[in-house]
Amino acid sequence: MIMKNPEFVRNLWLQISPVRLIAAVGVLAVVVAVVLVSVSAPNDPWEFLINLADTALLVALLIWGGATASATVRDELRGNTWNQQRMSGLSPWQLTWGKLFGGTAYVWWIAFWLILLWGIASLAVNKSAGLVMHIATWIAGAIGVHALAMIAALGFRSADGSRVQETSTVAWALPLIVLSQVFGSLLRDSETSILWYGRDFSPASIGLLLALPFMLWAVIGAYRSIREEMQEAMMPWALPACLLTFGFLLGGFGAEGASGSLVLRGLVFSLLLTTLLTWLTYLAEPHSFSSLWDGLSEIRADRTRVAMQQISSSTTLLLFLLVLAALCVVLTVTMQATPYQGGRDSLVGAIAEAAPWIYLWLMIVAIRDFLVAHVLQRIGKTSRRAMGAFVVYLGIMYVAVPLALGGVFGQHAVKWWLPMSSENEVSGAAALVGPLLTLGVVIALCFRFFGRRNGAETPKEN
Amino acid sequence: MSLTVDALSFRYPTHQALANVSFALPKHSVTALIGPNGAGKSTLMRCIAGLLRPSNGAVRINDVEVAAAPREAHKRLGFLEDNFGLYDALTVKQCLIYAAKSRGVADENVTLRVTEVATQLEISAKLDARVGELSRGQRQRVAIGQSIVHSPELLVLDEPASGLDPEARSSLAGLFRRLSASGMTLLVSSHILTELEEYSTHMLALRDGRVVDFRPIHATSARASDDRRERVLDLRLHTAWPNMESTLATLGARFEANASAANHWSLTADLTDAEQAALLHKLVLAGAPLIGFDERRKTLSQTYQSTIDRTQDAAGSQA
Repeated sequence: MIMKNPEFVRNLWLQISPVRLIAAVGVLAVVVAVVLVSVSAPNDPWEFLINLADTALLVALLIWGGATASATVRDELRGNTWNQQRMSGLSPWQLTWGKLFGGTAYVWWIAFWLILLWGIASLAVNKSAGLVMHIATWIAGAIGVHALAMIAALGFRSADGSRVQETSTVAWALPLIVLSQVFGSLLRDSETSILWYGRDFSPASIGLLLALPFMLWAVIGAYRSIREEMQEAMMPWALPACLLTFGFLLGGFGAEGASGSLVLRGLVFSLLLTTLLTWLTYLAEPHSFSSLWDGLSEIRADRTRVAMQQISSSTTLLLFLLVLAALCVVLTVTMQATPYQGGRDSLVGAIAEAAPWIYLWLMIVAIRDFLVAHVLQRIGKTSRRAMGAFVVYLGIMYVAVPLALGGVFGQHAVKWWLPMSSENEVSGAAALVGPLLTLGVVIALCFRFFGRRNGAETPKEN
Repeated sequence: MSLTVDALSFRYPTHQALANVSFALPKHSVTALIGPNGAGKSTLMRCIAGLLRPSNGAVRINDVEVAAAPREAHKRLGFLEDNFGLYDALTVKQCLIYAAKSRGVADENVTLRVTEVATQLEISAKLDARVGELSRGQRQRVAIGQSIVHSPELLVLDEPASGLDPEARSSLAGLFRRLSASGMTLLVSSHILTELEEYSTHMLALRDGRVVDFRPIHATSARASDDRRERVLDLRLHTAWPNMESTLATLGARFEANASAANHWSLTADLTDAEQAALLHKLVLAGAPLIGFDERRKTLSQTYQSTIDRTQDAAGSQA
């Protein structure tokens, strides 16, 4: 069945040869032999091999694997074969997993031996607790990184779409790898169990719990990116589904009785918020990044509709959203933290103290408004009218309603904008009801108005 | 019709590349797409292949609208870009197998199709060679092989002969004639008009993103249901005949007559065989001392040049 996928088989032809397979095992065997012979203390060789395998996995699976996965797309673009693939009869899913696993087949071959070495060394020094969880986390995380590398290669392209902007790709992927390592080491070093929905979980299980949805959404993102490239119709269901997944995940940490390091929670939330906002852009349609300049050129060419369609994929807007989200978090946290002393240290502490509901609330509201913009674009007779309608919507939601409720500086306005602030007596969960309900209505509208797209109205190069 | 393009427009952010382009290619025709650099040829081909989404208008391949169902259209289409790419590390056989399987050829037919295509393209001897080791002409054949391995109804080729030596070009012309004879419709762009002339049945001229001419050219006569074409007739008279010009004027407005010598006239006219016979008959009845005539084939280059001249004249008169 696996070998029925021509893309997977083609990548195997390119990646695998008997010489390469034997060479990888040979080099690893020599290194192990040298370590076992040269390190004399009873447990030291195995400890050394565990560290070696761990570091080698980081280099092989995440860094080299990420670069290789990115190359599966980059080489097609550079070699002018990408259009042939887009015109092929392969399904987007075949092309996605064919590249994801076929393009990194050699990396996985090396990783297999490293994991085997790690397992044997861990068993030799009785460090097998959580071993399976750690290995599963490594595998899930690596698949996620490879998928993200593919998305980045497709997303960061030159204006004519023929070249990958490699610096941008690396600049985007590296912080993610670093963050995941910092987060991973925090989890590994954690002595205490972590509460999730009131139940105790080992740090290793929590690592896997976070890595699995990361992998899932990265693979879905890669699939949707390739599907968009192959011009297959798509519904914008990924955003709400992604939100629900991470909302469920975050909700566990924010549930009553949750404990654990505040800094750790802050890290989790920051990472997830950033990831969500990034995916908000990636999984939206169209997914390719565009610059503010592209949008201005479209408006000058009297193609405001195209400019509006590109808004969700504007890097400028993404940065703006990140800054805005950060400002909102800071504002909310400073209002909520008790007592807030002012100054940087207190602010950092306050961010860590922020209730998870705030993050969820911000995400729901941002995604709801984003979808509203898309719906208005779809139903608007002209893009200018749609843009005007969206401005009216923002005006009603964020100015008129709060004013009607009692003035910008009144208690009601604060309740409207920041329902979880300390000014309120509304609980976090109750405050989510309004945004969730309106989000539900908007999603229903999406299904009503988006229908099956054929993208014929998007006059841009694919 | 194999390919129908209807009011197609495409705009890049900085300029209009295609404006209201319409034409329909008959089945099994070979159409030469010609025009100066920047005329919109490659953009048109990429719109036909569904790689660019038009701002307006529609492209249909045998009633499948490309923008609405691009993947369905791709099953019926083979497209070779001017800057095509190949997997240099794979063998020719691997490339063709991959192309066949990824384009939906049934597993049990893959080997047969690869063999057929290799034979058709005369690359059977190179099946086990790595693509990176092939000459430019052989690479071109492999790329064409990948484009036709799924037996498309329409083959679109953008500058297929660029960079080839004369022998390889001639061989390519033979290949296109064979593909056309096998039932495929071809749209081929090139700057080398003499090469296009060898195998084209129709000419589609683009200029500034607009169709300035679309017509059958001489090679179509055997196949076209309507034998109308632009003809150049050389008339030889026994002696100079002063009534020639006035007589021609009475026979219709579409004549372009140039006297190269007092008893030697050259007519350019858009005629069917029957109209040509009637014209000669009327000239004899009017008293023209006709001692012979010859139909001189107008080359593609001449046809294209006269189209360009007409376009420029029209533009000049409008200005």
